[in-house]
This record gives sequence, C-alpha cells and structure tokens, in this order.
Amino acid sequence: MGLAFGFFLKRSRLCLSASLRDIYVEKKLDGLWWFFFIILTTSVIYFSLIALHVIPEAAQVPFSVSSEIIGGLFFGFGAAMCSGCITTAMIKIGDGRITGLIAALSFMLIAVATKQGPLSPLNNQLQQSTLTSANYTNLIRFNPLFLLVPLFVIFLFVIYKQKLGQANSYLSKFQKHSSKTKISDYLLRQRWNPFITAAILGIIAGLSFYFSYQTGRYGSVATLGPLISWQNFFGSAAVKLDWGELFVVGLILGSFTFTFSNKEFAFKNYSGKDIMLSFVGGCLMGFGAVVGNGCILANGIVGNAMLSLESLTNIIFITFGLWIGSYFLYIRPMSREINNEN
Amino acid sequence: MKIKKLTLSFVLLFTVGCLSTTNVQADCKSGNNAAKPAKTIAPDKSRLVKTEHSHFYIDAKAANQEIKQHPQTVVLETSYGKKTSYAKGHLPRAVQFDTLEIETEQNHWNILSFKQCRDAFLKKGITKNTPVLVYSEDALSSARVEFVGYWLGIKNIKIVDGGLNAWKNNKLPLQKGTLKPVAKSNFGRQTPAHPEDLIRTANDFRQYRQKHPKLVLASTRSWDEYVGNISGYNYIKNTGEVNGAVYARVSKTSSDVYYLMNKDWTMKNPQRILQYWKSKGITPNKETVFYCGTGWRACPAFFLAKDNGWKQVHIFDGGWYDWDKSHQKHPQEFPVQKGNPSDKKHFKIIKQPEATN
Repeated sequence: MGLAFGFFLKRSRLCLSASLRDIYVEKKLDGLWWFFFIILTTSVIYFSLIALHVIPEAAQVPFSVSSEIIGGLFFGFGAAMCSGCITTAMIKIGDGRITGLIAALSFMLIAVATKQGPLSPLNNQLQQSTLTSANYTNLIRFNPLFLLVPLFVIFLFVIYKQKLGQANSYLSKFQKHSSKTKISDYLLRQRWNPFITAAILGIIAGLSFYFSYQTGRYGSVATLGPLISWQNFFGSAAVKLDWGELFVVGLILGSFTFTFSNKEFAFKNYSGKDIMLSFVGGCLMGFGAVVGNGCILANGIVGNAMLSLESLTNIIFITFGLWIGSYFLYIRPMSREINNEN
Repeated sequence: MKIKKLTLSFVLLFTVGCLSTTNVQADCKSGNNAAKPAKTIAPDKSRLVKTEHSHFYIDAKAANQEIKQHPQTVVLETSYGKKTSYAKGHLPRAVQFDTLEIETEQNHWNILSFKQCRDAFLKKGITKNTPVLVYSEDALSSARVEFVGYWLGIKNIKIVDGGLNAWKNNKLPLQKGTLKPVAKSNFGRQTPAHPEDLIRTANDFRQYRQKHPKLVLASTRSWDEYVGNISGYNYIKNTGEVNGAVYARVSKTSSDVYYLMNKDWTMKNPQRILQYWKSKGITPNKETVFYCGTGWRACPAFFLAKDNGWKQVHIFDGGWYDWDKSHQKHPQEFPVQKGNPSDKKHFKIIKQPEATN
C-alpha cells in the first residue's frame, strides 16, 4: 500500500500541504477540492467496511483542544519551512532530494523527544488540558454513509460539470504532458485529471484500514507513529516493525519507482539555507505532530475521513500554520523585494 | 546575524534531540533508565529490611555473612541480556542469570513454562532446597527472577536489598572474572509451588476476574502510563490501562519502582505505601492483583505485600502488553480505560479499537 500511495502521490505532482497553503498564497481553492476528494473517497470506503462488519468502528476518545491547536500551528509552520509536510519529505527522499531526508531525520529526532524524551512532560501536560469529549456521534445520529455517499455523487457531478482538474486548470499546470500513447506513457507521463489520482489515493487509504487491521493494527496510512518506531527500532531490539513501519518504506520506494521509471531521479544540490530550513522545519513538524497526535496524512486525510473532530481541529490549525509560515518565508520577503525595486 | 541565529537553533535542537535518544523512555528490560542509585546508605528507619523479618529481602551485610558461612548458597547476578560489567566485579561466587532464560519476546514477555524455568535454575546448580541470593545492577531484574524462583518452589530465595549498589556502598568485597555454575539434574518438584500467585495471560486474568468480581487490580505503572499519556515502552504503541485498574503509585517511569525504593535503591519502609494502598482500596482482605507493562514492576509490589502478611495477592504477568494485544482483536471482551477516573467527564472505558496514527 505504501508503494502504491507513494507512486500515485508522486504521479499526481501535487502536494498535500501545498493544496492547503495555496488557498492563501495563490488564492486558489482547487487544491482544497483535491484534498477534500481524497478524504471523501477514504471516508466512503472506511464506513462501508464498518457497515459490512469487516472492521469494527473506532472508539471516540476525549482529546485536548489546546494540543490540537498548538500542534497544528507548529506542524503547519514547519511544513512551510520544509516546503512540504512529512509525507512530502518521504516523497522527496524517493526522488533524490536531500532536503527531504534532512527534514525526515530531524522530524524523527524531535518527535521521539516529544513523545518519550525531555519534551514529553510538556506534551503530557498539554494532552491533559482543555479536554473535550465532543465527537461526530454527538452530531450525526444516523449511519454516516447516508450523508457521505450522496456527497460523493454530488462531488463527482460537480467535478464533471465544472470541469475541475481539466487541462489548463490550476492543478493541471503542475503536470507534465506527453502525447505518446504507450502504456508506460499513460502510466507515467500522460496528463491525468488530478481527481483521478485523488480517487486512487482515497481508495488506497480506505483499503489500508482493512489491510492494516489484518495485522492487528487499527488505522490507515500514517507517518508519525511509524517514524517514531523506526527511531526506536535502531535503539532497541524489542521494537517490532509492523504495517505502519513498512508503509513509510513503501512510500519512499513508491516515489523512487515513479521518478526512476520516468528518468527523473537525481541527487539535487541545495543551498545551506534550504538545508537549514529543512532541518528546523522538520523539528517543528516533529513537535507539532506529536502534540497534535498526527500529521496532514493521519489527521488531515485519515482522521477527517473517520469524521474525527480532533482531526478537523488539527487540520484547520495546520492550515493556519502553513499560511503564517508562508507569509513570513515567502510573501513578506517578496513584497519587500518588490518595494525595494520600486 | 540570521545565519548565526539559525545555527544556534540548529545546535540547541540537535542537542535536545540527542538527549532524547539517550533518555528514551525505554522499558525496565533495556534499562535505559537515566536515574542512578545514591552512593549514600539510606537510614534504617527508611528501610523495609530488618534482616530477620523479611522473607524476600536480605540486607547486604547479612548477605555477605550468608555467603561466607554457607558455601552451598548460590548467588545469582541477574540482568536483561549478558552484561560485560559482570566480569569487572560481582558478588563472591555470583553467576550470571539472564532474564531471557525465563521470559522471551515470542512469549509476549510472559514467564516461560515450569519446565523451561526449572531447567534455567537447574543449570545454575539450584534445586528447591538450595539457598539462593539474587541481586542485580539495575532496579528490577532481581525481583523478576526472585518471583520465578518463588513460584517454582525454591524455599529460600532472597533479594540482596539495594543490589550491587548497596554492596558497594557498604564497601563489601567484589570478585572479578566469570564463574561457571555446576548444573544439577533434579529440581525436586514437578509442578510450581505457588501456581495461584501467577496469572499468565490476558484471557487468564479475564477468567479469574469473572470468578472473583471483587478483586482489586492494582496498576504499578507510572501516572502518565495510567492516564494514557504514554505507553511507557518503545515496543508498545497503544496507551491506556486494563479496565478497572486502580493506580497504586509504585513507579515514576516504566523502569523503576520509585515509590517503593529509597534513593540508594533499598526497599523503603512500607508504611506510607501501605497507607496509600489502603486509601485506594488495595487492602489485604481482598484479592489483589498487581500488574504493570510486562510483569517486572509488579514483582517488588507483590513481595512487599507478601512480606506484610498479605495472602490473597497475585501477579498478572501479561500486563498491559498482553491486554492491549487482546484488546485490538477483541475489544468488547478486553476493554481498556483511559484518563483519570476522578475526572468523570473525560474518563472512558473503551470497548472499540482506537485508531493508530
């Protein structure tokens, strides 16, 4: 599943964090609809698996509002510094960008420090403050599929009618184009409507609930827990690598498979400033992910697909963090440059 | 200036990260416990062990006399894995005992079968009648081995109170080099002497609780583990407690029994902890089951209770590790609790699996 997710995420040429960032930076909602469609597809599959009794429903546990807010802001700001979230960092490792590796390593370091090390008392205090038991079952008294399936159909209709993701759209400008018709071109180079990859990513994330559950792990695609486990694995023989840990390896390999097949793989040079930004951004993301109990993938996609209010709170503040980071890192310096030129 | 600030942030964050990897909240076995025992001896009034009164502990000086006067006494230095520090200095006549001989990861860190444990002790030259002294460099492995020896039926097995640290604090002689034990062939028993004191798996505990619905499950885990902030173990991802567990205030982290020990790692005078247990309904007139993550921290609590005359006390060996695995597969039958039970609003009994991020 990791291989497929990494492959198709790379194939989409889109970024989970950029789709939220560009609402502010580019004043475009296209990325948000793409992001939303992944969530919707995942959600339909997840609740269908529950309705078919293939997997049980997850517990709704209390969460700390303040930790979701603080975690989200830190994570978003860190993602802006790294020009992508931790999932993007995994993808970057696969396509030869050292900044992805640096961000991932610093993420792991600080995530472990926050989860188990010297920052854990702070995290533990935050997790026990401003607790709320609010969850979607308070708001929806019926099977969520009665809401999700019509919404999915309506969304498909809107994609078709509004021609979302068509050539010349904002999202399609990130894609390369090939007019050749071999199978490899179709798989690797032909322009795809981004909502096709959104659907594929949603299907992978949805079905991951089933495959992960078979191994005794209840969850879907994720990076935080698995990366912490990888860090611990190198320090203790007792740590077992399971579905999640293999998923993140697959994520990197999937990205590598795509870029290698497309002859795009290359080790790229970066300035000292980019490397430093990646390191610090990775640290902030590591702290934010642990405090917020997840990242853009786990909270943004999977958690929201499960209709978790905790994840909804977190992704809203991840988005704000991305916007604040983008303002200080890109918008303000650019407008100063423009003012200086004038 | 900006580059300097960034460099300073880099150095600070890197230092924090490095500190975190050396201070990982590892479990009792890997012993990454940053805490070290004090080099000063705790005063007598702070100590549990009055040599002649304890069934399970012996003062370091009395242990030294025992070793000198009784050549048949076997001394075991216990540890998780073989320690190279053993050969540099150990108690006279001490042989190494690796806890992996009595528990394994494949067995969910539960105590192995009677035959396997018995054979492990026979290899060290120990039968049911052999006097045994057990000690360790860490805080807990000796109690684990002591419990297995007690459960098997070794009549006279005691922990050197304060372990190697107490031996050194009392400036008692150490021996260098590696000693090979002389194995024995006949333990003297075919079944455990105290089978009732060991509740092995999550299913065993569930069935035991159905027969004894008023039993008290006393958690020896730290507060953060108890309320579900952390799992306490690198290899256990999920947090929470066995439903119905009462916080027994025994440990501060997953690799100590802080509230039962003095700073020099000798066992504390138990009056305070017994009072606390009484206030939480953990009393000798009830069936009491101590548990932790994988059974180590429960052992000193068990011995403390036994030393004070408690008869209806047991250890749930599988602990949170086993219960969590069962909960993931059968959440209705193995519910989990999360939060502080005093916080009625946010305390929850969970009968469904929780998503892992």
